[in-house]
Amino acid sequence: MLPATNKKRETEKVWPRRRNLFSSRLARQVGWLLMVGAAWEAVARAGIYPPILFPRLSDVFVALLAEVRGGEILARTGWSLGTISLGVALAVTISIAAAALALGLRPLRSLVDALLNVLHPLPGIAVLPIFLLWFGTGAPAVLAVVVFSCIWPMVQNLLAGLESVPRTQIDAGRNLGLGRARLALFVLIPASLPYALAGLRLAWARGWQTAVAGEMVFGAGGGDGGLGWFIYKRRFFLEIPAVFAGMLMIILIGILVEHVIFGTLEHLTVRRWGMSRTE
Amino acid sequence: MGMLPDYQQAKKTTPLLVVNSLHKRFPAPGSGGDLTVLAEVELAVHRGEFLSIIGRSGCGKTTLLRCIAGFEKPSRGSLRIEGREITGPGIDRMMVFQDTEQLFPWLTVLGNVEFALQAARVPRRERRARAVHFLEMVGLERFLDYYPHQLSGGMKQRVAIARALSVRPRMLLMDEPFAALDAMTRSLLQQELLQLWQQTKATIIFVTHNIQEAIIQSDRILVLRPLLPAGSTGSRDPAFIRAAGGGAGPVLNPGLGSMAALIDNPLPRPRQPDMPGFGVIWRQLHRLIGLEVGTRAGLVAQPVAEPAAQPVAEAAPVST
Amino acid sequence: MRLIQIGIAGWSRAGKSGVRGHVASPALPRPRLLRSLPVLMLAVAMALALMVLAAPALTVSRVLGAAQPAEKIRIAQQFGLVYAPLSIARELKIFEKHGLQVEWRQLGSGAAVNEALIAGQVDVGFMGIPPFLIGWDKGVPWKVAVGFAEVPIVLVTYREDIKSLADFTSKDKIALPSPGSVQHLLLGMAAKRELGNAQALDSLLVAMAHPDGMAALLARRDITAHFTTPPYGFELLSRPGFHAVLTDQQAFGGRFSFNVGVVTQQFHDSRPRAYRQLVAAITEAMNWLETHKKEAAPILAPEFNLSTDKTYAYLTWPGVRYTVEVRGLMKFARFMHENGFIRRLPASLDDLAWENVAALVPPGEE
Repeated sequence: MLPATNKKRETEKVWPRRRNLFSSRLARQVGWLLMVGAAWEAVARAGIYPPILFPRLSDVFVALLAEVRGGEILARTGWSLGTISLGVALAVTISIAAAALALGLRPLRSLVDALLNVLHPLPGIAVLPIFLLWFGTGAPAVLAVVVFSCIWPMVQNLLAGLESVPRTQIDAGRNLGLGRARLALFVLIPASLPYALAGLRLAWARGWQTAVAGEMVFGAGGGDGGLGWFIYKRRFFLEIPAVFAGMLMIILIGILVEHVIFGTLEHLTVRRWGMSRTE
Repeated sequence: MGMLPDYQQAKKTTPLLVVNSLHKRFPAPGSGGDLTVLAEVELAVHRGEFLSIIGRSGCGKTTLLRCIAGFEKPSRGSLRIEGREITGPGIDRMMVFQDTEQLFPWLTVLGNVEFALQAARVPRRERRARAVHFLEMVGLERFLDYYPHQLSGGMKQRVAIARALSVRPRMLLMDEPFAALDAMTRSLLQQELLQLWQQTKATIIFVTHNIQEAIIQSDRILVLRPLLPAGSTGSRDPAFIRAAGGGAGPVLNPGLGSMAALIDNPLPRPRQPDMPGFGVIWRQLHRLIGLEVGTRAGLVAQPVAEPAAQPVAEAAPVST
Repeated sequence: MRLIQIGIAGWSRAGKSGVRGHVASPALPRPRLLRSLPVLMLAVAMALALMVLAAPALTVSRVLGAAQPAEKIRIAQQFGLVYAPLSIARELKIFEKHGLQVEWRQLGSGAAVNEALIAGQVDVGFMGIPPFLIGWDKGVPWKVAVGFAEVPIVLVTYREDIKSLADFTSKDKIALPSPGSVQHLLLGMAAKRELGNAQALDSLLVAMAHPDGMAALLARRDITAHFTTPPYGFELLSRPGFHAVLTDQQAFGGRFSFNVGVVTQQFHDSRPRAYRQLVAAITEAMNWLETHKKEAAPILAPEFNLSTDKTYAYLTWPGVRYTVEVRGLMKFARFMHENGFIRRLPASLDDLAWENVAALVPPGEE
């Protein structure tokens, strides 16, 4: 099969012509995952480890299916998504207010900077014990810790975004006679959108991590909690495939949010406008 | 032989823009003192005039333009447009920047122009037609739905010009708009700009450091020079001030202000670098700008007064 | 098949581009990479599998396999009143007396003890009957070797209006150590009896370590009740304004082992001598403690960070018993099976306990 195709390739010099299964990035990643999954399954079936430590991948999927049918994993996922979304929304609102104030009033800028420098390095999970005391267990503590984790990357990105707006675009806006409000609405906000989106992405990731970790380590969600509590509980009942199923759910949500929601958002905005900072 | 520039008629009426004794200082970084960038600028610009401002970098060309645009407040003196003090940026003085990022990347070509029209309070139903009209004038009717990042640098500047012209400003302020472009695109855009200027009878103030560009395009050329570091405000020369209002022939400013000269460019249009008289003006400008290399005394001692009208047959100097 | 073919072609070309010069195209490295990718993936996946497969040969076999003549055993070290016999055995060198050399493993929680046992990192672990049954249900090869302690467990609240389980509302929260713990199952038993559903209060549960739960209850905030063991239960009840809603006796309807010693099949079968020595040593330690509480108090006081008097008071508190008798194993199993906590029902005690245990179960309390 080689000679014919190769001769052609030499003359046409078009490597994309060979569009086999592995030419798309997605297909390649899926290929890798399938291979790793097959390796996992093979090891599990070899029976060297007790299945309770190393369940078969197929059992994990069976458990996931069973949990989905039973409804609990969906309810827990819903709880997590709801709480984290609310937390991120609150954090975004606070961040926008903080960024606006910091931008509008010089002395506040240094206050925001100081808070940012001190509190940004503090992982949300580290303040959880205190938040549990202040806000009580369950949704309030999880919400508080999600807000705490999300605010700092969000504020930082918003400020960086506002500072990155090209001077010329601001001048062009002022030239059109735009006042402060309209300049902010029609120029500053869209121009800093790439940073805002990056911040939102980071905020979501941090909020999600903190909430799940908090529920797992501190049982912060309580009996009414989210996916973290689900995994926590299943762990104590040694339902290891279900623990993996919970993780799988976290991964699925992650992929969904990252690629479908943020990806679409980016494609509709910054990517389309050629403002994307990634790629 | 050549047609009389429109501004020659306009001159008889009141000037569109009057700059009086303009000084601009900025806080000097580090030292705590001030750095004077512009001093003693006296200028009157008439309707329909194409004025170029030329000078070496750092002599305050852009600052003067930004003062006119209203982005900078004068430290002393005044700027008036149609008799009214300029207090800030306004849509009556549209600026075209050198930076190709001046377009809003989140709006399409059409959207960018329509946004300006919206800001200019043009009724919604008229916006599209007017935006398309001006984009047709710059030859971009096929790119209405493109986003800026999909355009070349020259196309972006065309959109910026269309956007600026579409709101029908009293004057167009252009800050080296073609400086970032390659030579061919630049020359093409120069010709297009002149056509637009003639079609729209716009008043244009055009900052450049390119002598040839200035001569080809403008009715008058203002040469700025860097200021001496300290105590630089000199006495005002009444003769110069009179001339600055639009007198004939090149005038030299013996004082210590920012203005080195304000010269008329009577060459007939369309202008080519190899036309008679071009070289004279070119050398004149070159010397005016180059003189600043020498001592300040040299300027006063050797006033350049070569009559521009005198045709000189010579090879065109290669432009900068 | 096709994939492999393509892949091999890719590799061979990568290796012999000089030989097959007319075919190789150095300007186009990309197709070559693409062609070899499936093979690369397969190779990496196989390497991964081999690594994971090889790992147990190095660790697990060493851990679970070889029966060594020197009777070294590994015990998960835990602290607290419940584990007092372990501290006594260590202080009085009772294990050594029985020819055992103990390697203590410090572990943070009950769950960690279970997991260490499952992974073969310790030889004996002490746990509540429910966690033991959950593991047994999942096929963990382990059985009960010895009873360990009986302690009073109380559900304490500061809310005067809560007199029984029926008084809890959806706004209340009940702290207990973890889901699947003794406390959780006792609550389930009581809920089954009083509210008709073993899971009726599950949505109120909050998992908290004993000290955290006590602090939360003392704060009188959102945690309205705490289901806890000594000394936390004692501490709470000794303060004004706190009362018990439920005791372990009420919930279970009798005595039961709070903790049992659990040994894996591997250890039991491969090291019968060590197993017997272990049971004997623990029995001696328990018996000594049960009969020498006065002498034990000063030994244990520094470890609990309490005064000798208080330690003695705790050791002699009504309901605190150190005994190797095993109580309640089958009763827990039946309840957990009936209410969906486990799927398998043990046919008899033999399914759950090693041969020596039958003698340790008092009649009617299996």
